[in-house]
Amino acid sequence: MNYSELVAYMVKSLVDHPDQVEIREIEGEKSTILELKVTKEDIGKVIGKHGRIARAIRTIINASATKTGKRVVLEILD
Amino acid sequence: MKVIEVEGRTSEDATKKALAELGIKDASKVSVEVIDHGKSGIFGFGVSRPAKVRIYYNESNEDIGDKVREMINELFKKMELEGGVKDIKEGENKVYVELESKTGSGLIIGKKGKTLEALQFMVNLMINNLTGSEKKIILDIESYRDKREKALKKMSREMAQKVIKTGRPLTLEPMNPFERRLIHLTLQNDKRVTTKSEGQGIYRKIKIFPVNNRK
Repeated sequence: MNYSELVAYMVKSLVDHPDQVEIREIEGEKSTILELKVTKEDIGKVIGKHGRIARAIRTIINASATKTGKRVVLEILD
Repeated sequence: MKVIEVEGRTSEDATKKALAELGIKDASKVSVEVIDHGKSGIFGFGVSRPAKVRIYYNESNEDIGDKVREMINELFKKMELEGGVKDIKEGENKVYVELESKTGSGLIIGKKGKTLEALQFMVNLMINNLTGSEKKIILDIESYRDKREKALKKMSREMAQKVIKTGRPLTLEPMNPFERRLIHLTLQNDKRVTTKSEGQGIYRKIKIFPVNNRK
């Protein structure tokens, strides 16, 4: 399962600067951490009001991760 | 109406490039304004300047369905989910998308429809951002929405009965605005109870009060 690609696909369709989207995948034994970096102006676009967009992205990632039994954490860096 | 600006070797070149980028085949659908005709350097001498055009275009509605189908199929592929779009119906303000998956429909719906809700929310945002379309996209799978609606109506009536019987208010679990609205509507004609929403954001939930014993 390639989480970075999934997140990149969603995030790049939301932001104004898709070329400046960076995702780092840190794989652990039981969980995978995804670090997402976007430009300052785009941060609101991936978080949303009350974190609604970030929550939707996390829900979709977790649905994809169910089969693997791994926990996937999305962190948005600023 | 949306606008983009594109550069090219000549203004024709730039226009072609813009149409390709927008996925518009018919050039008569857009209006082109040439900002700069550009200047080509002769034999490498002189300063060459690219031509620049501004394209005004309307996102034609016929394309939305195709874009939605493409996006969902791509999302499913990346999520490693089997299935995809079964049918798309376009209304004036809405696009109804019926999904199918032989093995993954439970996963696509998620607990209390959470995943389906998230997918719908994301697809709406992405399509809106990419195309400027303001049509609301509604995702459904195995008539989940219809089933959920019926289940909510039934549950709310049962809860109202309980409130009438005990004379005590009852709080339901948190729900999204559509579901809350459905319950308010289901119970609005029952004079023995009233309904109110309490809490904020995703925690907002309905409370059913008995009419005689209202606090």
